[in-house]
Amino acid sequence: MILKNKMQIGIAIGIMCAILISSIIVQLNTIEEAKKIVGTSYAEQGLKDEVLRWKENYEKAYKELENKEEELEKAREETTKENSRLTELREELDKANKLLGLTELTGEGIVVTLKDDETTSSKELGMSITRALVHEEDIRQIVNELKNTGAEAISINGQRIVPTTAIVCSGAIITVNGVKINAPFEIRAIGDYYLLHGIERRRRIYRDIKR
Amino acid sequence: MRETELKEALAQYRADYSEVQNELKDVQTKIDEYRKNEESEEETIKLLEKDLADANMKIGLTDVNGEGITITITNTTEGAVSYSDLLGLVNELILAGAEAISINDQRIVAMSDIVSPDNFILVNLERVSSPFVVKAIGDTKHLESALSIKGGYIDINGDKYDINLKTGNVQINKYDRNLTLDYVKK
Repeated sequence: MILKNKMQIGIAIGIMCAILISSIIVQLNTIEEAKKIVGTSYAEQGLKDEVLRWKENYEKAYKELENKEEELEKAREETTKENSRLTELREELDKANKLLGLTELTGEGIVVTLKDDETTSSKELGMSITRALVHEEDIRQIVNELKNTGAEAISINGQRIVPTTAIVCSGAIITVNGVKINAPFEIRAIGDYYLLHGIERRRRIYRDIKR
Repeated sequence: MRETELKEALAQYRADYSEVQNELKDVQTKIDEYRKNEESEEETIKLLEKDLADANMKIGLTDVNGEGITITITNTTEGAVSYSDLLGLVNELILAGAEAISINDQRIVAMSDIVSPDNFILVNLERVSSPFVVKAIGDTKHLESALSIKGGYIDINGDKYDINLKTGNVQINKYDRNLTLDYVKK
């Protein structure tokens, strides 16, 4: 009888111990988890700071570059005035730089804005949801059309079209000149206003496609 | 933001930063050169001519040659090359680092258009037709693999057209008309 009791107590204690141990392990585990989460968010915070710092560095350097380019322009101007051959050459170079997309330009033209279709719900669209989105092909076609109607300079969301500009799709984002841009896409073109408006015909087609 | 995205952004900013730093150096060198040669007309002319030649080469106003590829695409009974085919091909080549491109000797410049008002194709408003000879100067390996990769231009269109790709030295002629800026003000 006593022996049986002892055994029961032993088993009870054994079970309690097992529960205790496992709960300690669980607790340890959760602490580890928590540490990991805190750890990554610390690391992420550090990364964020670094990204911001480099962003600032880049922006500062870019501003400096703009100033330097102005200085170069001035240096050219000053060293070439009072000489017709030199002035002529410099003006040619100015034009070349405009054609290359190295200078900011203004002039008459049009702005085409492409947006994803937000009026039709995903449910209505069903599987054809991609039809409601602006694709890189759409942008390429419109840019091509603007070139055809005599555009002299074009930009997409601030990215100038230069000889080495590729328009690439990378998921929800489109890359122009290697820079990521997203909808709405604003395409600006300088040229004969009336000719450029020829792409209105296109717009009708595009509205159909988007619907 | 996720960690990988942050790392990506960081790498991008660093790369952009060092690129701008390099450009800064170049511009500063040029400024110094102009200032140094202020007194000498001859030297200034040389500098201007060099900068101008450099710019014109990038615009596409000079004949160029270098390593690259030549792709010849011929219509077959299975299909005819469309303007959007060529538009896509040019985009692919630029993405693969092409520095100069031509289609049937029409040099592709920034404002080049490829359209198909009827059943024929116009590049720079000049008519081009099959066989389409597309030349590109750039890193041959990059250009070749961009087109030959699975799902790439040749893989997708190989059944429809007769496509021939050659690598080696390529001669690309200049854009042979004037590029005008009548509407640009500044």
